Amino acid sequence: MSLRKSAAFAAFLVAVGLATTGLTIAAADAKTVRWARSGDALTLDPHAQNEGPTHALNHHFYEPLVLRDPEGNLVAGLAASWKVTADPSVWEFKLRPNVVFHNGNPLTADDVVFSLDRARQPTSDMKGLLTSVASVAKVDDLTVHIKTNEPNPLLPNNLTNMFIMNKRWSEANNVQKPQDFKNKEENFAVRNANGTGPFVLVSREPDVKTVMKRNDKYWGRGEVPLEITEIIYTPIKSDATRVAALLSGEVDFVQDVPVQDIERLKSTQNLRVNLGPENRTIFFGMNVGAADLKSDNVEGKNPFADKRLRQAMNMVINRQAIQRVAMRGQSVPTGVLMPPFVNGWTKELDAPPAADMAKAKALMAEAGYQNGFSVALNCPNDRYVNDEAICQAAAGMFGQIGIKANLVSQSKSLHFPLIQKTPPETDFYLLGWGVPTFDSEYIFSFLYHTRSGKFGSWNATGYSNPDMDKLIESLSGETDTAKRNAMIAKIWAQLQSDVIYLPIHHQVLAFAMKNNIDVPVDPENQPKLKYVAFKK
Amino acid sequence: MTAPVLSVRGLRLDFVTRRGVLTALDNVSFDIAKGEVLGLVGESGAGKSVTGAAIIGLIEPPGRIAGGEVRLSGERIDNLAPDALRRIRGRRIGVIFQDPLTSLNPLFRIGDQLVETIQIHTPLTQAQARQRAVDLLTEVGIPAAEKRVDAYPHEFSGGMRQRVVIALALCAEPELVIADEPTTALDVSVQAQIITLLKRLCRDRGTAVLLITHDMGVIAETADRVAVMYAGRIAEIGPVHDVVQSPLHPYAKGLMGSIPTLETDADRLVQIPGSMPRLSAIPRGCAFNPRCSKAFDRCRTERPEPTRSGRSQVACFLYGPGREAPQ
Amino acid sequence: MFAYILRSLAQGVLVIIVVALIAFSMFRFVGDPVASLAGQEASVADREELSERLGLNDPIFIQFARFLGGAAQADFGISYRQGRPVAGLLAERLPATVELAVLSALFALIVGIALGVYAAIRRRGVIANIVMVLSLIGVSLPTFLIGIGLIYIFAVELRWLPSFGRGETIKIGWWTTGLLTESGRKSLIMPVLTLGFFQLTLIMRLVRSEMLEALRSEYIRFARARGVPERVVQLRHALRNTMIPVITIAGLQLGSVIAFAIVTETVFQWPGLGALFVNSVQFVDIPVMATYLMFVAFVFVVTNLLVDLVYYLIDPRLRGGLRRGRP
Ligand SMILES: Nc1ncnc2c1ncn2[C@@H]1O[C@H](COP(=O)(O)OP(=O)(O)O)[C@@H](O)[C@H]1O
Ligand code: SF4
Ligand SMILES: [Mg+2]
Repeated sequence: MSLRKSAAFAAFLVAVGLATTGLTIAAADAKTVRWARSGDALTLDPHAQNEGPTHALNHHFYEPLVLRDPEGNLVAGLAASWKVTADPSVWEFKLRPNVVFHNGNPLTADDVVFSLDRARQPTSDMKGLLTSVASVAKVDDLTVHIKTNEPNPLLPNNLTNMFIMNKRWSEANNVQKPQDFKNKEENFAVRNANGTGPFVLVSREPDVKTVMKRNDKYWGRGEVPLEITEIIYTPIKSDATRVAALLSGEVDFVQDVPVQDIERLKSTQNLRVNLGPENRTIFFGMNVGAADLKSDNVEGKNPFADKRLRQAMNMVINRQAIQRVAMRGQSVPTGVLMPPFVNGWTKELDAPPAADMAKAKALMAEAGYQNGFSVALNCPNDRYVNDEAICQAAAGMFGQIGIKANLVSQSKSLHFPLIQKTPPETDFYLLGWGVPTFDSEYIFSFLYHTRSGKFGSWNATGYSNPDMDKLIESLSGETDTAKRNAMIAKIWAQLQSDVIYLPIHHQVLAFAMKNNIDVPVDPENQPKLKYVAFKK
Repeated sequence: MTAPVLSVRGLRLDFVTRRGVLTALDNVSFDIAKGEVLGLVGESGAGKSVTGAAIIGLIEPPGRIAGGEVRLSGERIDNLAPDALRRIRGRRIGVIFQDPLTSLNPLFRIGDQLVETIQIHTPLTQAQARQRAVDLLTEVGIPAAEKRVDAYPHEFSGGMRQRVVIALALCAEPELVIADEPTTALDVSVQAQIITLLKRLCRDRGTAVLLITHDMGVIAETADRVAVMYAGRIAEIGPVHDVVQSPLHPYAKGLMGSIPTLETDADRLVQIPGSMPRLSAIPRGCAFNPRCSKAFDRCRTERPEPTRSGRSQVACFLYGPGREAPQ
Repeated sequence: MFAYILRSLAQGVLVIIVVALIAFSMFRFVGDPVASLAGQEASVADREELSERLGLNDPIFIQFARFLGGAAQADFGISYRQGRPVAGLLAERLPATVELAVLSALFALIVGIALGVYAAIRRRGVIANIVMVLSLIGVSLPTFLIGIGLIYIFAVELRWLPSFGRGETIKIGWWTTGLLTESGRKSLIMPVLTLGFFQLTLIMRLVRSEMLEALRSEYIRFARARGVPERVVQLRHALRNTMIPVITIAGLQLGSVIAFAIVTETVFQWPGLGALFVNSVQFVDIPVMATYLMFVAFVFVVTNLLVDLVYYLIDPRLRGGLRRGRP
C-alpha cells in the first residue's frame, strides 16, 4: 500500500520540520495522559479476543489473578497468593480481600469461577490458554481451586491475561458468554466494562477514542504510583500522523513508533524514547517433512529435508546486516526461537551462528545442491517490523549459496492461513513468535510438536519427531522445576542441532513520550499505565 | 452628400503566427449606402468572413487590424474601445451567421436570447422586450410566435432558426446588417424564402446590407452592387448588372462564368484552373497571376491597384489608366 | 420522467447486487477471517470450528445468498472485528464521511470552477499559467503526501490545526456533526483540502478546456455579435454550456471522493467509512466489507441518477429524450 511506501518520505518531512523550528511542547494537563497507538482494542469483552492491543487496553479496566510487571516478573494481581495443593493437579488461589468492582460489587470467588468458566466457553478466544483446566471451584469467598487434567506447574503463566469479570453484572447484562457471531445483537460487554482495574471506563467510541478516569477506590493505590487521573486513548493508524501528533503535542505517549523515526524523536527536545526487547522472535520456517516441495524446481525430493542444507542456510544469513539494513539497528540478532525472558533461554543458545560462506558452500555441495535450486518464500508485509525488508535481505543472502528464494509478500490475512492450513500451503515462510507464558514449553508445543490435536498448530515445517513429541508432552506434568528445566535444555539441544527454523532476531519495542512521563517498555507491548509516575 | 452607412478604407488585416505575419486582407475599400445591398463574393478563403468580422471588431488574436479605417455613418469605429464597439454590435450593426443550427445557444429559450439582446440595446422593460420579441418573431414569419417564443432552439427547423437569427439581428433596428452566407447551410427549398425575407425586411427599414455569399444566383437577385474578392484583395467592385453580366477582371470572369444559367451548357462553363493560394504563399505582383490566362510579366512583379473602369473599379493591369495589354 | 427514475432505481438495485456478488467472490483473495479472529493458542480444531460457525465452509454462493437474505431485512450481520451489528457501525461512521465528502466536493467544485473559468478567460495571463502549472503538480501528487505535508505545516509547525480526528462533535438524532463546534470545524479543514485537492485540479482543468471550447463556438461568436457584454458571454452563455461535462465528471468523481476518502481518512484518522473499510480489509471483516461495497455501489447509482436529473434541468435538448426513457 502506498501508505507504507510513503513512510520514508514522511520521515524526511519530519526532518525538514524539525530543522526549521525549535519545538516547544505545550504544557499539557499534568494529570491527563493522551495515549496513541496504531490500532484500537477490538472489544472490551475480556474473553472475546486473544489479541495484544485488546489485552493492553483491558488491563486498565480488568485484572487477572496474576500479571507481568514491566520487567516481565509474575506478580500478584487479584490473587494475593497461589500455590499447588497437596493434590499436584489442584492449584489454590487466595484472593485479595476488600477488592471492589467499578460498580461497587465486592470481588468474590464466585466471580473468579464465573470468569474462568466464561473464558472456557466455545465462543471464547481465551479457551486455548485453559485447555489444561478440568474445573474451577469455589472453596470459600476468597479461595478458588483450579483443577487441571494432569499436574500443570505453569498454570499461573497462562493466567496473566485472563481477566476477572463480575458475575452479577454479567448476568444482569446478559453477557455470560462472549460474543457469538451468529447472534444478531451486540454483546453488552463489547463497549462496556466493569472490572476491578485501576481505571474506570468513561466513554468508548471504537476506532476513535476511549476515555477512562482513575479508579479512586483501587486496591493497589499504595502499591503502584497511579498518578494519572485520566487517560484519553486514541488509535492513529498512519505512522506519520501518529508521530506528528506527538511532535505537535496533541498526544503524550505513542506506541508502535516506526523504526525510521526513533533517532529523530530521541533527539527532539522534550521527548523521550524508551527502547526495550519485545517478547517476539522473528524467524524463517521451512517445510522439512514433505517428500517433495510444491514451489521448488527440484523433482522428486525435498532439499529442505537435508539437514546439511539447512545448516548452510543458517550460516549464510548475516543477521547483523539484516539488523543494519532492514531494522535500522532496532533488533537483537539471535540464534534461538525465544526472547531472553523465557524460561530455558541461555546466552549460548541465543548466540547467532557465525556467518561462514566457505563452510556453507561446502555443506551445499555435500548435500548435492552445489548448483542451487529455487523455491518460493512467503512473507507477510503488514505484521512485523519491516517484515518484507527482512525477507528481501535474506533472499539475497540465500542467493549467495545458489538458493533462489522467490519472494511472495502479502497481507497477514493471506499469509497466516498458508501456515495454519493442514497440510500447510507454504514451503518456506517468515513468522514471528511471542511467548506469553514466558516458558519454552509453549514454543515446543506450538512450533515443534507434530501437528495433531492441540499441538503443533503453528508448526508448518512438517517436522515430526515422536521421541521429541513425547518429551515435550511430558513437560506439562513435571512438577520438579530442576528436572523440568533439565528436560527443556535437552529438548533445545536436540532442536537446535536439527535446525528446523532459522532464527533471525528479537524485535525491539520503542515507546515515545513527552519527557514529563516515563512509561517503561513492556515486553508484551502492553503498557500498564498504573505504573507510570510523572516527573517532578 | 450624406456619408455612406458603411465606409471601409484601405483595410488591412494580419495574422501574427509563428511562421510570420500573414496578411488576410490587404487594402480593402468599399462603401455601402443607406438601403443598399452590397454582395461580397469570392472563393472560400478569399477573406469574406474576416472582412465582416473586422468591421464589427470581432477579430480575435492572433488576428489584428493593421491598417485602414472603418466608418459607420461617417463615424470611425475601428479604433473604438472594446465596450463602445460592443454597444454598436447588435444595435447599429446586426449580424447573421452562416449556420443557424449553431448560432443560437442551445440551452436558452429563443425568447430569452431575444429579450437579452433587446434589453442590452434598448431601455425596454422585461415585459415590453418580450412583447417586442413576439412581434419580431411574427414579423420574420414564425407562426404562433406567442407560444414559440418559449421554445428552445432545437425545437425549430433550420429555416425557422435562421428566421430567429434574422429577428435577433434586426431587433434593435440597426443601420447595417452583415449577413455571412445566411443560406449556405439551409435546405435549397428554404434558401429563397430566407433571402426574400431578409431583402424585404431591410428594404422596409432602409437598412444597408453586406451580403457575403458565394451563390451568384443570390447575388444577381438581391445585391445592388457586388465586390469580388480574391486572396484578401478586392478584384472588382461595381453595380451588380455590370459585374455579373460583363465582368472585367479575369478572376471575376471565371467566377461569373461558373454560374449555370439556362442559356449556358455545362461544357461551356468556364473553369478557373488551380486554386486560391494559401495566405503564406500569396504570389508577388498580382495575386491571381499564376492562374490567370492573361498574365504577363508586369503581373508577376507589380501589384495592380483598383482603378476605375466604367462604373466599376478593377484591380488588373488590363484596365484603367496606364493599362498595358500585350496586343 | 417518473417511470424513468423508477427504472433507473430498479437497475440500480441490480447493480448493487452484482457488486455484492463480485465482492463476495473476491473475499477469499483478501484472506481468511479466521486467521485474524482466532488467537495464537487456538488449535487446528478450534479454528475449524470457528470457520464452521461463521459459515465460511459453505460454498460462496450460499454465503452470498445468506448475506443477501439478511440484507433484504436490513440485517447485514455482525462485524467480525468489532462484534457489533454492521448496520449500526456504518450508520455511526456515515456522518464523518458524508461531511468530509460533501465539503470536499463543494470546495473542489466552487474553487475548481472559479479557477477554471479564470484560467480560460485569462488564458494568456501570468497568474492563469501559474495556476495551470500548480494544478499539474497537484494532479501528480499522491493524496497521502498532500495530507502529511499539510499536517507537518499546520499541525506540527504552526500548531493551528489538529493533525488527527474529528474534534468535538455534536449529536443531532443519530447524526453527528463537527460543523457546530470550533474544534470540529478546525479538524475538517485539512482533510477537506486534502480530499478535495485532486478533484479541484481535475475540475479546474476540465472547466478550463470546456470553457475554451465553448468560447470558440458559434453561438458565443453570435452572442458577441449581438452585443452581449463579455462577462455575460463568459459567465452565462459559455459557463452554462461548460456545466454538462463538468457535472458528469463531478458526479462520477463524487463516487471517487468516497474512494479517495479511504486514504484521506487513514492519514487524518478520520472516523469515517473509508477508515473502517481499511481496517476491515486488514482483518478480513467480511460483513463490513460486503456492506461497505454495496453502499459504495449505491452511492454510484444515486449519483448517476442525480447527474441524469441535473442534465435534464440544464439541457433542454435531453428532455424530449428523457421522457422517452433514455438508458
Ligand atoms: N484565426 C485565424 N488564424 C489564421 N488565419 C486565419 C484565421 N481566421 C481566418 N484565417 C485565414 O484568413 C483567410 C480568410 O478566411 P475567411 O474570411 O474565413 O474566408 P471566406 O469567408 O472568404 O471563406 C483564410 O485564408 C483563413 O485561413
Ligand atoms: S493583373 Fe495580370 S494577372 Fe492579374 S488579373 Fe490582371 S491580367 Fe491577370
Ligand atoms: Mg466565410
